[in-house]
Amino acid sequence: MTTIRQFTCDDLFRITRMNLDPLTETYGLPFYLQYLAHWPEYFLLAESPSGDIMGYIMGKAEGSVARETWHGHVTCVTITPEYRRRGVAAKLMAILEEASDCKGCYFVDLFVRVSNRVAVVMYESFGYVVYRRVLDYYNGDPDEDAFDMRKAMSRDVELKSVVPLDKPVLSSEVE
Amino acid sequence: NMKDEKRLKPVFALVDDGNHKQALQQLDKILKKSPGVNQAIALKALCLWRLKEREREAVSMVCSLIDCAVEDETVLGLISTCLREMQQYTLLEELYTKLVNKNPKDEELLSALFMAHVRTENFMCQRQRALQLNKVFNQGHTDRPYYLWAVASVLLQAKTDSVDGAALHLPLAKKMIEKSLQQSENAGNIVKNSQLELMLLVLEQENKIQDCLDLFEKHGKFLNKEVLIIKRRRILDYLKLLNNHEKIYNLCVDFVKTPCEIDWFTIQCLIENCIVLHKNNDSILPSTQQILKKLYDENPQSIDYNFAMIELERQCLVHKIKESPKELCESLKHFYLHFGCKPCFFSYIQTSLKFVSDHPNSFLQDEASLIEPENSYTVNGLYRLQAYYEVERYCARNGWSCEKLKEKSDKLLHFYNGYLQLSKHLETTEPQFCTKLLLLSVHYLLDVFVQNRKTKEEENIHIIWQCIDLLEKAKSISNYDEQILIPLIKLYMYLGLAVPSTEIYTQLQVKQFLHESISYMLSSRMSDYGFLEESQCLNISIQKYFAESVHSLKEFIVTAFKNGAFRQIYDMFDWKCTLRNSFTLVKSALDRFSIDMYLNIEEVSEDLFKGIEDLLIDDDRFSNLEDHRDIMVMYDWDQESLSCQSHSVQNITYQLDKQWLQIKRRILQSFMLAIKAMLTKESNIKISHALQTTKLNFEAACEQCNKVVSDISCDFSQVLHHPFFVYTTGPEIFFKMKLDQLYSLLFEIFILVSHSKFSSNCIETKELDSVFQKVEEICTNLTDIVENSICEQFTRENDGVVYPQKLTRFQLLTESLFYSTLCIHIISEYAFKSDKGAMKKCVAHLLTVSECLNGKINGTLKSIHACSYETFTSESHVKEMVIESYSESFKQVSSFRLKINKLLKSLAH
Repeated sequence: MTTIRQFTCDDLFRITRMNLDPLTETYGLPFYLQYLAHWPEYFLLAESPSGDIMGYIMGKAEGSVARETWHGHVTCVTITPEYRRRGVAAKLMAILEEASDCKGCYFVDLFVRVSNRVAVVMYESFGYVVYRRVLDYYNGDPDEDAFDMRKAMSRDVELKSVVPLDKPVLSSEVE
Repeated sequence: NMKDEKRLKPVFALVDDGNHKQALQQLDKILKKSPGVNQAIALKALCLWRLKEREREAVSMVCSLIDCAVEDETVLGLISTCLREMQQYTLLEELYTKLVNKNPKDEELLSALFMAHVRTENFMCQRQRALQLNKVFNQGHTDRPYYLWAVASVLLQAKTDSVDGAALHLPLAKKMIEKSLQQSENAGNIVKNSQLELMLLVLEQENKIQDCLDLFEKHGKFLNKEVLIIKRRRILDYLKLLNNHEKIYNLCVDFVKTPCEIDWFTIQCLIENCIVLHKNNDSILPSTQQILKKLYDENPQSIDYNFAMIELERQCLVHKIKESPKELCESLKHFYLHFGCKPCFFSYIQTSLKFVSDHPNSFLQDEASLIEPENSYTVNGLYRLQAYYEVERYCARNGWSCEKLKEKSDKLLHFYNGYLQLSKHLETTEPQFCTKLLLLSVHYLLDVFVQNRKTKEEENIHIIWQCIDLLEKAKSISNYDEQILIPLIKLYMYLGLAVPSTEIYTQLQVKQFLHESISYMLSSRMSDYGFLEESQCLNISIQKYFAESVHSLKEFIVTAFKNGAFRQIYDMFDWKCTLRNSFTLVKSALDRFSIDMYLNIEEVSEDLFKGIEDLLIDDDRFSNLEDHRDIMVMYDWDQESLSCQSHSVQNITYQLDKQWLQIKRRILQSFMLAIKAMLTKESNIKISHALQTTKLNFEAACEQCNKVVSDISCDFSQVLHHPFFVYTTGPEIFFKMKLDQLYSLLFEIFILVSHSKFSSNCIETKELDSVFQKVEEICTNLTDIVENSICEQFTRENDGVVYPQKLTRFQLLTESLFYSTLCIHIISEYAFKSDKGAMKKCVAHLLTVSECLNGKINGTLKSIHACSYETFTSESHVKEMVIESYSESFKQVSSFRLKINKLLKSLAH
């Protein structure tokens, strides 16, 4: 059980431990501020009963309603090692999905390294499916493919948004 | 024209790709042929600015184009970008004012002007522009947010104007937003989230919390973007402000009926309000116990529901509803049995431990039963064992002998080595399961170090190296674990070893805002140990982060306006002050200037002089400081046990650091004034007066510092001499305080010489002589202080062992040398100008002081450099870094001393 609340600017001073984790990306300050200014309802923090920061989620809503691509996107979800395997990520994801449903999104999506099996399995357990493979999405040495995983929201009654594509796509083809 | 556009197209592409150098080359070619192409000039200015080359030229190029912007949209776009990046917000405002005057019905230009006002925080103009936009462009388009922009502008004016804010602007904002809501409702439109959010902000500012709640009730679909859990939290927060305990309690009881939607905040409110209501309602406590028990019974796997029961027991003890911790002990026992195998067990129960600290073993299992047979270690078994030792360390180590502490450390190390087998399959980038056991072992070793601090120095330094060795080995297995890297940084810094500290710090990949929360570990002592260049690099990157942050905040306040995220505007507005008031920022600025002075003592540039002066006279910057260090970033079992009464370790160290910053500020200020007195040709009365005021401020700061020291009644040696508490000042503050006499005398000298310079034109030689005589007396005293007072702090000189105290001494001597040299420099100016024998005597005295300091620094450096550190560590790469560290320190301070010698020689001639 956690206390979930909206992320505030001051919280940037309190997420040091989480962001020192090598697998958690620390972005430039403008990146966080952009999310706070654009999509504050998608930027949430989880605190433990003892007051520790357990994790946070940062996301956005984008796409076009006309083309039925209006969707929620998970940009980053990270949990402190001590509080992993406690359902905190699931809770944060569920709230983001709820917010996306409120906004009338067709689906929620996220990108994950194909090598990150633990994360892929976790997202599958949350109801996400691999919609497509994106070639060389992650820059590095070597580049790495990503899975674009999706979960349909209630607006997508026919579940059209989550029908997997047959072939992989190039990262340049991803909106 | 078309031809220019064609030639510029590839240049635009280069700029878009960030290839500014190549773009600049192309632009120079184009401008050589056609010097009047405005787009090319604007692009060149942008490239120069982004390349940080000829920045002033870039700004003036843009200024010259402002008039042309009216004619050409592309130039306008470029100039607008340039002015934003150059942070020339007033010019941006002027530019769009001109454009709007020419095209008053252009919606895009008008809204750009509104945003320009947002950047300069010109609220009055913001409101005017927003209303203008609303009047002209909102006819029939009710979805445009212009009217709300006007309300938000008035609200910001109300927030920032301490004179008319509450009486004038706030009622106006309220009237405006009420009108807006009324209109929406009358027209049958959906009331928007942003409208309601603004109304709430007004009501919150008016402190009309009940009205906020009524607003929630009135609009059923209120804040439809928000999810249930956030809405509930807001309702509870408002009720808390109203102290409506009964309603909170009843709501929480209602909320917990659907377990899948419960969050901890609800449980916390339920417990807190049960405690408050208990005074008048005896049945509420047992009924809350029942509710929590039922929740746990239905979810026996949930650590949180079980913890909720413990929290209720704890609150009963805190509020003295119960006196005996017996029930809490029982609950903890159950909690440990069921959830002791969770890695977060200790952080959950930490706050409860003070009630059972006399009998921690009463709720823990027997130690022996926790020890798993070798070869069948399990992760759960490890966490359970770990939890046991965490609790034990927290509660039971007071009064333990050194032998017992060492024995415990060995035992933990044994378990750590055993449990490492569980991590064999992990990558070196992943944290190990059993790191906490190692850290606990290191903590126990450091307990021994602190206990022996005064008596067994030689043996003690071995302990620090032993800890470093253990952590270095752990680092080689898991090389990104911050819980290993951070203690290593601290220990190396404790020994004055900046090279390994910096290397590990780099490994942490500290970026951006992380600087603010943890850079103190490195910046605290780097310059003191002679690493002036490295310290400057760190200070520069810290300041760069702040400058960029404040700049980007302005841009995102603009974005928030566009998105109607009015609450976030408030948050960002406050955060701008938070950043500006940062202790780290002010300290790094002061340190940077001090080091610049060190490195440029022969000639202080005008820019440096102005920069220092601007910082030092800004009282607001020094009085509204905020501490953003994240000292909880490291696993720590000492924080609370080292704290006393109401003083946390964070508070104690921050209070001391703040006072020390004031002392440093006044000392630097005295030098700046003295240099000013030396350079100025005009009357020195003002400077002399300012020096006297500075002296009084300095004395007040010293007194305040002493007061802070005596106010905090805990045993300082526990906090400040602990190697893990490498704060900004640390134990040095006590030694530095001994220098106050020296500083006082320097102030006296400055006051006298600045006065005498002024007087030399109008007073008798006799009087002048008496001034010089006085200076001479002070100089004699100064020599005594340096010879006796400072040096007596350190007794053991040539034992070949690196003691942190020796480094402290080195740092003090360097600092004294710096100040005394400046003093000589200043006095000699007068001496040569007035050609007085008495003055020359003063200089001679100061030269003696300086030489004495010089010799002592040399001796200290040699003994540090020649020490046999090889014996302390078995890690060869660490040895290399140790040698490199001391050599570098030696090199940089030697070069500084050479500079001073040169200066002294030139004065002698």
